[in-house]
Amino acid sequence: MLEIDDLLESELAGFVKKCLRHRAPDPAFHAIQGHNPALSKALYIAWGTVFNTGAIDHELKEIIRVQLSRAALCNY
Amino acid sequence: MRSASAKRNGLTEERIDEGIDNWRDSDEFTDAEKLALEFSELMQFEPEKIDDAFYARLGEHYSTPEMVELGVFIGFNVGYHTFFRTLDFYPMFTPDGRLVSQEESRRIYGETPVSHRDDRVVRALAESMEDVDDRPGR
Repeated sequence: MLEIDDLLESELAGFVKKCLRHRAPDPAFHAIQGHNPALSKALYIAWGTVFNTGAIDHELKEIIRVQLSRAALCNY
Repeated sequence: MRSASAKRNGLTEERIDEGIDNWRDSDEFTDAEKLALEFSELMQFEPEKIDDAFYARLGEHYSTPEMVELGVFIGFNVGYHTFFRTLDFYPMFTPDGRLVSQEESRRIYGETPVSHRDDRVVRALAESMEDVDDRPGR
């Protein structure tokens, strides 16, 4: 797992700062996927687009996100 | 951790728990919201039940682009949480918004995910805050 300080010095810095500001996804998103930076960027943009934009209520999506986390026994 | 904007807009832990544990019987969700929560639950546990009839029900409340949005969002998160679980890592943020080590996060959140209102999480979070307050210079 990559460290936040290292990520903030990397090409993913802008994306990590957004995670720190918005808190979802947690910065661990890049701490894991940052081992493959191009993929981490692309997935952040895709995931963020569907989470933060669109017609479906954002709060409902947040409930679904937590619902699925608990269902998968994933604390993330 | 929770979405900062969702929290700012008034989403509470009580509503999250209601949406997960009691959406079927709850008066706090519209029929459309309940259907979205059912969609998500079925995608996780019984995807074979999501058939033409289910999509027809979904279509009574959501447009086709909205159904795609919901399906992609749910699909992303089913996959991500399944993958991330295998890595056994924890949020870097505590429920009260502090960045902590993986060890501290594990101590707060516990082995399996539960409500942030759960006594164990509340107690662990309070202990974690005491540790912060006890640091030299504070």
